[in-house]
Amino acid sequence: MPTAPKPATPTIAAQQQAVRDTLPFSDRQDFEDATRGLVARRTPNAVPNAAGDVVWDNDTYAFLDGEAPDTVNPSLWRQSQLSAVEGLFEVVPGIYQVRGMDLSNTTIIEGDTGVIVIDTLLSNETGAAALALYREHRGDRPVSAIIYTHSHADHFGGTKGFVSQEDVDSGRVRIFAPEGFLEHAVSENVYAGVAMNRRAAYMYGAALARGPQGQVGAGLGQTISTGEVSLIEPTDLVSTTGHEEVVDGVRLVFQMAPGTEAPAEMLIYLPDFHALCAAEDATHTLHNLLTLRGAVVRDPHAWAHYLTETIDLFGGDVEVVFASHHWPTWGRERVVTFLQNQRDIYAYLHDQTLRLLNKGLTGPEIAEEITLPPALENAWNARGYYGSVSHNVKAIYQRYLGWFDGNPAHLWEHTPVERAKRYAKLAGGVDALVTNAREAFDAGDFRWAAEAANHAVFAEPDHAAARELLADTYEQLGYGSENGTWRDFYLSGATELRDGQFGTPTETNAPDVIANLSPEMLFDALAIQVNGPAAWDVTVAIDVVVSDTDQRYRVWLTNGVLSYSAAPQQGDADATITSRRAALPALAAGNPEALAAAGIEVTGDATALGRLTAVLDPGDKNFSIVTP
Amino acid sequence: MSSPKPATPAIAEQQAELLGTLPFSDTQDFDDAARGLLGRRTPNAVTKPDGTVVWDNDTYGFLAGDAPDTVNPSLWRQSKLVAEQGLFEVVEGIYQVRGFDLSNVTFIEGTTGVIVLDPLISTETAAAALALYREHRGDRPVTGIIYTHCHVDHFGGVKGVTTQEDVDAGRVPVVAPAGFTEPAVAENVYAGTAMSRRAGYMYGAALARGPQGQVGAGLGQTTSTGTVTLISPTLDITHTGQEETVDDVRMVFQMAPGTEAPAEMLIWFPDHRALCTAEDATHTLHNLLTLRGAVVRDPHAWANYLTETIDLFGADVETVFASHHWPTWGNARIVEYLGTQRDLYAYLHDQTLRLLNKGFVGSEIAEQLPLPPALENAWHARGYYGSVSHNIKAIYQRYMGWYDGNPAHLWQHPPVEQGKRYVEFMGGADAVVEKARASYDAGDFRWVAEVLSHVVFAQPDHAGAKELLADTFEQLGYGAENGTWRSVYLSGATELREGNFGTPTQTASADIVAHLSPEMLFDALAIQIDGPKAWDHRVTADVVLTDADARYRLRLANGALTYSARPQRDDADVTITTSRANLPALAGGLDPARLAAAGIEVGGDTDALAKVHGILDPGDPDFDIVTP
Repeated sequence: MPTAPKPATPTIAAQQQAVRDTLPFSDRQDFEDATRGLVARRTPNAVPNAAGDVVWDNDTYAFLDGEAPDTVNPSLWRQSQLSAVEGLFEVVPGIYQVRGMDLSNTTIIEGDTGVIVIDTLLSNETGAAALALYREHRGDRPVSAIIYTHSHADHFGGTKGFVSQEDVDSGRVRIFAPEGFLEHAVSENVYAGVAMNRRAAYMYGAALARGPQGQVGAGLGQTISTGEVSLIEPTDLVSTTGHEEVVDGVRLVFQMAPGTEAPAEMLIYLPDFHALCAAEDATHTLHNLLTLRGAVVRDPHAWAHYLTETIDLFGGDVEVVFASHHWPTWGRERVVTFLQNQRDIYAYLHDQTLRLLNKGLTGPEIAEEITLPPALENAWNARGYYGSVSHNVKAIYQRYLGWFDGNPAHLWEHTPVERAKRYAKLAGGVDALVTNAREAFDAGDFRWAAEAANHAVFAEPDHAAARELLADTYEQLGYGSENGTWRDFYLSGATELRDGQFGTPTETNAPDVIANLSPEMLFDALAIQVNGPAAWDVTVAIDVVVSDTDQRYRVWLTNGVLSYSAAPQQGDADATITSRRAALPALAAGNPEALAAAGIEVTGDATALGRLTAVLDPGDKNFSIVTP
Repeated sequence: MSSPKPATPAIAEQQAELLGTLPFSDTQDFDDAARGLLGRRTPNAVTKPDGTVVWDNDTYGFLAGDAPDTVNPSLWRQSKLVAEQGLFEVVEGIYQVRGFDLSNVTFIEGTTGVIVLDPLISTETAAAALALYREHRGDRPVTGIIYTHCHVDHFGGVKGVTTQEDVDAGRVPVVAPAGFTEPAVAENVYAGTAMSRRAGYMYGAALARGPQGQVGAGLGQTTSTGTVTLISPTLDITHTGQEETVDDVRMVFQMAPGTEAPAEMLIWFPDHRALCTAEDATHTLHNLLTLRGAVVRDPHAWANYLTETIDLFGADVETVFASHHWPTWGNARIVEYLGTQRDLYAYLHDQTLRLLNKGFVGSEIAEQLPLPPALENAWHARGYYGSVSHNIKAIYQRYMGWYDGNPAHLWQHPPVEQGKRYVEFMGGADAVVEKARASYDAGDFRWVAEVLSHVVFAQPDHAGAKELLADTFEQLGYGAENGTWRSVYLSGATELREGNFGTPTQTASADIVAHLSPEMLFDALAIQIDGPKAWDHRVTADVVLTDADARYRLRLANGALTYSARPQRDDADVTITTSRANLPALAGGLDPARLAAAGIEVGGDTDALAKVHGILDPGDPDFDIVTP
């Protein structure tokens, strides 16, 4: 039985009122835009999978009605109300969007014979439901092409809800994607995948109840669907800005934007419609330069430059802009202002962070000191619902200077537990730490209460009062957050402190994604599981022959390191493994039955692979976050 | 000037223990570092025309005999090796001058003259090295220049060995990896002020040299402080396997972009059976993140390129040399050396990922990861410039970012506010200092540094805290095996005792500024715009290049200066017309009178431009590090 949430403290209630008093809530344009062109809704909204489990249900956000309660930041409440608007919408005649059916939108453009789909949501189930809703109202048109704007799963994972692999293989359906799409789409799960998935559960609040004291929305979309993720390899890679295609009678002009919101990303202009698809580079939020689940830091400088180019290329002609999240903006002047504001927010954060770091301020200092121009501060689309000024500024500092802030005192700190023990001792014991944290809590200094109580919990993880106070503190910080992912992170922390760990509720290692890993990535996936200390006396050399692609690799273990090479090697391997490309992922299992079942042949020393797999030490999907 | 203090017993014990555990009886490196000596420069001091000493290896004459207690014996050993100076024969036809700068310069003799590979940081040291070479090998003309990569210690002295005229006339080709120039000059544009200030700490430029001061940077002894120059490459190397012949010297190139530098290449000399590993295999664990701050590097790519190096050249190679440290001779030893260097980067990468996927954060992984004995005992794999500790935190940061996932760390107070609260709950500044002294006496210097840094940030004038913190940094410096850690700690102690020493060494020379692209110059201005002062100004300016047929639009709005080279739809407020050669004057700001004096024409609303100039807010080369 989960612990019941607590009410907002007076401090938080007062903060929410201050937000109401200062932000331009009377500006209701977004509500008009988010509902404009509504064709129909899916009622009830719940989308089940084949087994009957619900993988998406926007109706669970029906509580987002009326004024924000004290337990939700009114700005986030407003954003969630907008993000939870679901249905099929006409953007302009011939261009339709299904919104509120997943974290992202799918866009359907009508061609001469069928439809072109831009971005297919995260799951086959939500993708299929979106297509069905469209067809119900616009007729049973075939899908003639798919476009992936970028390499994130919420933009390709539902593809098999729209088309089959056979449709693509037979040439009936072309799939367009930016150059580098496939490699980036699959590589994210290889390296830090376990840690990212565990932290993603915090970020999206997957284990939280939905409601005014729980998850209210992720800012970018309400949350992620939990259905089956698919991936069909693109047939057409786009690599140059200005490249034009005519697909099913629809003219498309592409603008490349690599290394912005995603490593492979592109914007699309539809000149016949005067419509711009901004992919995920201009949305109704300040986006992430670093996601809280962990990621490679993004480049705000490049991002701002590409948006300048977007305005230069299409700003004279565009009448509507839409993206794969949130709602469109209509009218040339408003569109250009929107794009300029989005450009200026990334440029401003980048340039001001560099100005201030060149004056010696560190990430947390800059995050505290930076102020936004009124025009950006009051532009709803520039507010931090998914990214935040605070964590993005620290990300920019990190991008240019790294984790070390230059203070020698921070070069070689003790680990969190050792530090916590020492702080507890200096404070006069864990109880004294908790007392100090409680005073801070009562005074409304939740940031400090979190720091002090966190030391108490790390010094003595079973200290019930410390855990309870830390949970209460995170809860208040969550209630106060304007950012949806901050709220989720804090409330997830509170939940785990109160009710125990919830592990990783949502996995993204879909078979379709795994099947697209290159042999090199698969070897990397093994290499990062080798337990170094257990392995450093083990030597193994194995030749891996990929029979259907005529590739040959040497994989070997020395010094606790698994290396590989496709070049001819001196000396013989202990064993040779012959496998079809698609069966290679079975290598990780290592046992003869699994190999045989996958059709993998082993010659030479039959124990060689076992010696390697014996030192594999996979990640832990249930690692502790708020306790040591 | 405060005099340094002796090593405490805790540090003396640590040094004695290291003497017992590391293989000091292995003296092969001393043989290799002295092998092939042809002559030294005596005295070693190198001066500018005005007599200022820019380099003097003789100041390291104290590095004799056994290590004193104030220097880690492993660093002492490394510094003795690195301080070896002179002209050395690597193999017949290939010579190195070592100990004349942070880096080595290599001379490869051709049919008519000599090719200079990596001409040091300063023209003065490069010229002195060439003179020493010529003294012993004859007065050969320079017939080619090679830059292995885009760091200043590999190109800055180029005008000490050749001239722009010789290059322009085609007499001297300048060979470099593709993409060399942009990163070579970009580093000074963005975070340059902060990096230079922190580089003062990292290289210990303000420290006295000696057993209680600077003893060496691990990679080289220190940086020279002469004239930095740059001549653009005339021959780009673009792909692995590319062959070029300069002055009848055959070279085969291996590209290694994104390793130790963004643009880097290794060079195989088939006629000498000699391999130049640039800076990708040296006699230290290198930096994945330098302490002065930088974009984080990729150990995974680095290890893979070294595998390729072995695959390509491992069968034939008889000598390997680099642009730092001494060569290694003999095929078996070289293959072992390259394999160990490769395994080191791969091990750190893979093990960090294994452990982060189990939920450990950077500081925890850094604390718990042991190295395989074969790496632990390989002198060239020890952390004299990089360190296992700070590199692991860099790998964590590369994949996950600054945030460790603990909600308590998402929105901490900045250092001063933290410091005040810590001091309060620990019983006030005096009490903390007293308790810290007990920890100091117990040898827990890492903790004392952390807790006293809070006191100093809360109460910067607390003399007792500053004194004890300085003593603590000093002990941490004495104990450090890493040359840059030592310098950072001792620099912190020096500033706490004697005040801020600013930025002793500037690297933004006139030659470097002249190579900045127009876009980089605009970026350099953009990051100086004081956002809050600028956000009410809207100014557009066109920059017209008279001799390059280029036109840029600069736009200040929302406190952000952005630019575009594409045609614009409106007129600019002001037009700046200049030749490409005069454009670098913009680096000094936008004052219309100053621009006019530099031969730049300003038309239109010059007051608007003056306003923009007025809100430029350059970096502070004297910012505080160890105090708030």
